[in-house]
This record gives sequence, C-alpha cells and structure tokens, in this order.
Amino acid sequence: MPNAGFESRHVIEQEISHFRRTHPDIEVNLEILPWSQAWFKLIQAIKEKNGPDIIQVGTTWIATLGYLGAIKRLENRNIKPGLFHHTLFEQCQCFGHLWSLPWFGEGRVLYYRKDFLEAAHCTTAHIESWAAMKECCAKLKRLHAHGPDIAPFAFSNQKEQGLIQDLSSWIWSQGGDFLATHNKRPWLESAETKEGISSFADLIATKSISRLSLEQNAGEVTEKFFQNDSYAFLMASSWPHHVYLNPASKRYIGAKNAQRFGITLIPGGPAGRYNFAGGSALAISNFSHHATEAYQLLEYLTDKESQQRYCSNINMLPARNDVSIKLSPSPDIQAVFEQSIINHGRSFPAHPLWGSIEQIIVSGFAQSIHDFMKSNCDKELFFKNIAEINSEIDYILTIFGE
Amino acid sequence: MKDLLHSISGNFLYSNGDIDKVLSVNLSLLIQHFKFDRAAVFLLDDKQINLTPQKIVTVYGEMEGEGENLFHVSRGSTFSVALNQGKPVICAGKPEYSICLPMTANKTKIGILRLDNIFSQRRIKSSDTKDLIAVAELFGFGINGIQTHQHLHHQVTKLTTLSHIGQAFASTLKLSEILESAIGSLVKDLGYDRAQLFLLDETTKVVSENISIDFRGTFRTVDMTGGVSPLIESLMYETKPSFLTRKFSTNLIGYVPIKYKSKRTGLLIVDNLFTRQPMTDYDLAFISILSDQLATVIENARLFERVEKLSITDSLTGLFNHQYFYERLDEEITRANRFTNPLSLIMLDIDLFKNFNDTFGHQSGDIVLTTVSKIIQKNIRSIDIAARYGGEEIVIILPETDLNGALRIAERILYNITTQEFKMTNDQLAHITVSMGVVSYPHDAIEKSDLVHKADVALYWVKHHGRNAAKAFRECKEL
Repeated sequence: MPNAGFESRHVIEQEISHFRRTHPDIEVNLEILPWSQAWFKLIQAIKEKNGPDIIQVGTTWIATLGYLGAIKRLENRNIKPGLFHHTLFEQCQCFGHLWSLPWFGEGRVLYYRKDFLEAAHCTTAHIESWAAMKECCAKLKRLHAHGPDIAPFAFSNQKEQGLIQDLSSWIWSQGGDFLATHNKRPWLESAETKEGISSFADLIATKSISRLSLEQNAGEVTEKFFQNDSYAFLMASSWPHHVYLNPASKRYIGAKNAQRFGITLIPGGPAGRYNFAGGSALAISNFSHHATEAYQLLEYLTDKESQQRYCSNINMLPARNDVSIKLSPSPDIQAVFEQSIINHGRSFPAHPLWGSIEQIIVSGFAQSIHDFMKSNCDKELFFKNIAEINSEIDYILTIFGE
Repeated sequence: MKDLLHSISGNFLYSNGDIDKVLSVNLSLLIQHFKFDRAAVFLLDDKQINLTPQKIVTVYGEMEGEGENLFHVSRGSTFSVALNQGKPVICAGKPEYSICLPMTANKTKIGILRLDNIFSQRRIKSSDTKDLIAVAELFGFGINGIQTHQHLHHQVTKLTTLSHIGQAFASTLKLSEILESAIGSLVKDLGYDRAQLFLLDETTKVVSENISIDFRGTFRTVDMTGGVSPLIESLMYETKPSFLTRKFSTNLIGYVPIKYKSKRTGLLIVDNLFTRQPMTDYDLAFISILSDQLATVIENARLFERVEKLSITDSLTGLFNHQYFYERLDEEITRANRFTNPLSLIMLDIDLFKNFNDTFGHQSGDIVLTTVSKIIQKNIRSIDIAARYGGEEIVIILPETDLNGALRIAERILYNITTQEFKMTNDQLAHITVSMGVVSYPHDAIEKSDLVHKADVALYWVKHHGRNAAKAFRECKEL
C-alpha cells in the first residue's frame, strides 16, 4: 500500500533489492494496491485461501484478519516486544495472540498559526485542553470581527477516515469510547462519549469550526490551511509537515510563511490527552506456501538498518524504539511527532468487524454533523442521530453473535 | 482530437469488461494528448451517495493511491458541485490547476473525471474545456456499458447458482442436511460473507436453533432454547425482506423471514460484514427466492420426519416399536465392537398387569403403560433407546454403559415407578411394581438374540423370586 504517495513503490523496491543482496535465493514479487481497493482485494484472496505471503496491514485490520485465521500467529518466533514502541506493538496483538509485527507508526497532531494566536493574545497553554481551546477560539473569532478573514478551526466532514480519527480525540479525552463491555456493546450513548461529542458539536455551534471547511474534502481543507490565511487550527498527520513545511518539498510554502505555523499535541480533557495512532504492520498469510522465507523478509524489514532507511524515506516513525529518524529539523516538533504515538497514541477497539463498525461511525457522524449544521445546530437532533448510529452498531454486534 | 475520441471509444468497446485495464489505458491517452500531470476516475456507488477513486494515472505512471477514500456527493465539495450541476468545475487553490468533469450516461450520474497539473502547477487551459466535456461524455458511456455488462453477468451467474441449489434441495429429505446445504450455498456459491438461519420450533413457536456459516466454511449450530435477542425476535415477525442497517451503512446485512404459506418457519440473515461489499435489491430478491424454496423443503422434511417417527414409534406409549429396537440393537452392538465400548440391556415387565387390567379396566391399563413409559424416558439419556417389546414388556438399550451403570439406572426407574401414584379412570389411586432383568454385552452374550434371551431369563428369575426388583443375569445362575 502507498505510504509516500506515488513514490512508495520506489522506496519499497529499494528495500527489497537490499534484501535480495543478502538473500539471493528468495524471490520477492511486489504488488502495491491503493488503500481504497486493498481491503476488498485482500479479503477476496483470503476467501479463495490465496493471497500474498507477506502483507502490509493497517493496524485496524489485524483483529479481522486474526479472527478469520488469515494471518499466522507470531508468538512462537521469539520476538522481543521490548524492541518496539509499546503502542505499536500492542496494536499487533489481539485475542491473546501476536499476529503481526509493527512496521511504522503515525499519529495525529495539531497544526496552528502562531501569528493568529499571538494576535488573539493566546498562548500554547490555550491549546493544551479542549476547554481552554474553546476560549481561544472565541478570542480568535473576536479577532476575525476586527481584522483578518479567519475561522479558528478547519475540519473536513467528508467521509474519510480522518473524520473518526480526529473525533476520537474529543471522545477519549472525556473518558468515552466507541465500544465497551469487552467490545460487545456500542458505547456512543455513554455519558463520557456524549460529553466528548458534545464539546465537538459546541465548536460547530459557535462557528469555531469553519462551516465551509466541513463541506470540503480533507485535501482541499489542508491546502487552504497552508496556502491561504483562512484558519488557525488543523488536525492532521505528519504528512502536511513534510509537504508544506519542508524546504525539500515541491510544495514548500517558503521560510517566511512556514515560520507562522506551529505543531503541538492534540488537546486533552479530564481523562487525558489522546490522539489516534495508526500506521502499518507486517503479517504473514496463513495460506503462504513460503512462510519461512516470508518471515525472513519480515525480520529484515523490521531490523534496525531497514527501519532506519525505509522510515527516513517515507517520513514515518519507525516501529523500533532503538531507531531514530529525523521527522523534523526542529527538536520540539520532532518530540511532538514521537509523543503523539509513544505517549498519547491510542487505537480503535480490536473487533473482527471493526471495518464495518467504522464505516457506520464515519458515515453516521458525517451525516449527523451535516444535519446539525442544516438544523441551526439542534443538539437534540444531533444526539438522536448519534443514538441511531449506536443502534446500527448494536445490530452489527448482535448479528455477529459472538 | 477525433483520433483520441476514436481510440477511447474503441478501447471501451473491446475492453471485455476489464474496467481497470481500460481506464488505465484511456487515462494515459488523456495525459499524453492534453499534457496533464494526472488523470483520475472517481465512480459513484449504487446509492449515488459516495464517490470512490477507481483509477489514478500520472505522468510518471499509474498512481497507486493518494490517501483518498470516499467522497460524499451531497455536500459542497468540488466533486459534488460538478456532479450536481452537471458541468465542469475548474478548481483547487491558486493557480487553478485542476478540472472536475461530471460523467453521465442516459441522464444517470456515473462519476467524476478529474484532470490536473498538480505537480507542475500549470493552469488548466479553458480552451480545452469543450473537448474535455466530450471526453467525459465518452467515459460516462463507456463505463456505463461495462458496468451494465458486469451487472448482467453477475445476475446470470447467481440465477444459474440458484437453479443448482434448488436441484440440491431435492436430493435429501434430512432437515439438518437441507439447512446446511441452503446456508452453505449462500456463502460458498453466491459469495456472501456469512449466512445464518434461525429456526422456529414447530410446537412451541419459539426460536429453537441457530445454524451459521462464514466463508471459512465451518458450520456452527447453537441451541437457542435459552432465548434469543429482541432484535432477532422482532425480525422474525417482519413481513418482508429488507436490509438491517439502512441509514448509515451501505446494506451490509440482509434478512428474509421464512414462511410456508402463512406459517412462520424461521429467519434467514445474510451479511457482507467482512468484505464490506454492499448488497443490492437484486441480492435481496435472490435470497428471497432461496428462502421461498427453503420454506417448502423445510416443511417437506419436517413432514417426512413426522412420518418416519410414526413408523418407528409405538402409538400408545410414544416409545420406539419392536422392529426399531432390533434395528438399533444391531447398530449399537456394531458400534460397541468398533470402539470396544460396553453396552447393556434392561428388560422390564409390569408386575401382575393382567390382574390390574381385570380390576381397573383396559383404559386404566393404558394409563399405567403410558406413565411407566414416561418415567423410563425421564430416567434415561438421549442416546438410550427405550422400546415397547410387546404387551407390558419394555426393553431399554444403554450404549456405553456397563453392568453396574445399567443396574443403577434400573434401580432408579424401579424407585420412581413404585413411588408413583396412578390415578385410575374411576379416580381411585393405585400403585404398581415392575420386574427387570439386566444383561451386559459382551460379558453375558455376543449374539443379539442371546442377549435379549438372557435379559428375559433374568426378568423371569425376578418374577419367580418375589417381583419388584432388578437383577443382573449373571446373578441368577441357579435358574
């Protein structure tokens, strides 16, 4: 799957050619699939008891593939968990087994405009918690009334994975979650989850989140955040940093503009400061006829040298904690990217049907936010929709029956 | 331009249904002809709500993804505007280096053709717009043709499979085989992720069983007599097939209540919760056809089971009949031999039954026989076989049971019968006793007839030694 846009083939091909030098007897055929088609193609291959020997898996896929018996357990391979960042290694385990090895990780962070914050007399303390941020947004809006044409928060409400990844920060920070009772029941209607959702909805109601950005896709919103003076805050992965704030990038916005942007951890709440941490892991197909060779490649890709090279090329945090790559020339930003995974990273519940549940949450929230805006921010209607999302998840869990 | 249009339409015409390949070729042609950096096709789903990137080609070659997933068309994004207004939109930042063109066919929205100069950041030439509209129209018709072809091919395959499944139903009358064959076909032949069937008990009208299978291929049967979720209970009484999660998910779970004439038989649920491939109304129609067939074969199989049961059952006592006893004794002896398991036999006779009949009448005698049979059935396991051997004689086969185990069962039966009060037709209360002979295979006999004979001998030994007791053959040697 692509990890660095269209350059990913070149990067992984480079790793494979390194591997071939030390393992000339093992042939490696590479197939790169778009993320949008990868799941379907992979599951079709599993249905036919077929597929690749070694698979790059999104961290939210592991529970499904493990449940289906599509990937091999790795606990008998004498793997040292201490070599990997705990958050990433945890994501590779479920149902009491180790199903994959972490490859690289990526967290969500908050991008902000230093100049806007300064003009509104806000400090970084204002963006440490959602409660303080509310106040900061209000100050920014007052600033808008007398000067620049800005809305505090840019947030895309298109049906993309980023929507739920970002929303989860509000929910987790209040102690809420998506599922509970050992993942057997939906948890969107719990007081804590509703509190998190409510504090997000308040930002829309007070126009602290830009209505225009809600209607645009994430790409357009990100482009506007960095290219125009439209917004003060944006939640995203490390990708925009490498595209817009990196002098080596074709789309670098220039040193003068770049210094206006700051990057920090996503704000927290009473239950803590959390952000979604994803990434990719490597697993061996249970239908592989070359499991030994596949494991050799897996070992190679997770060894120190390969991790150093590969993660530097794709600008992602290596899964190994004894490998360090420069994600940013600024030590502060480097620390934010690392902490967003190591100390504040959290993942979605490990449920075999998480993909379907996630689809309902993404689709349901996108619709609920849309209806909320159209209804002049009717919170009762908003939570009625949340109750329906909760019911649909409950249907899935009931039909699953395990 | 004429040559370009000719090539594009030719490629669609001879694509042989391979949408991936033809889009790759045709998008590359656009890049070459118009000197774009990138060309992409985004297709609308069946509900005309979501746009998914289908193929992205760049000047450097095929692009293997760009982190974009789904786009909702009802909101104000560039794609939505282009689709909903039906005209090209030049867009995205400054300079305007990208154009989105709606693709339609016969007034049906197909998707978006997006062309851009994202890498070189060159403006889109407005002079190209007219030609690009023609190209997008051609793409719309071409893609629509392939989609229609694929859809028809899919339906024909499913109809053929349905016909084969119908034929398979006719090959057996055994209910469990029919149920497994039906839900197995939904997964193995029709390609759904999972199928499950909830079956209503004919007498109690509550869900008694759940049989399910997913694409890993293992059947799972769960006894549901402990209760079923309110959701399943409510779906059972729905009047027509439908999708379960309709508002926010894309038809991943379909259900069909199974009815024979107006009688509810069960509920069939099919889902694509792993592949996340939405089901269509056609899928629901196929599942409904299958469930109609299934309702009929379930009814036939149950009828057959009833007839079969009648032919092996004694009508008065509900125990098995004499013929069935000998058939099962053969089978159980063979099984005991194969696994070197013990096997025991109890021969039971109601003491002084003739006198009882003479005193209280034959109807009261029938009450005694029926009650004794019920007591026996309550005190044996489901794998044991109790049969009416003749008159007031009852025989019990106890597989995997040695002599001591059989004697314990016999004593338990004896106790429960002798402590039972029998209410006669004249409301008078009476007590009865029984005598039992117990034998064990292979210790007491190897031959079937010899085993029965020795149980009978032990029974008559008890009769001659005071009745109201159970005795092992090997303890009656003086006879």
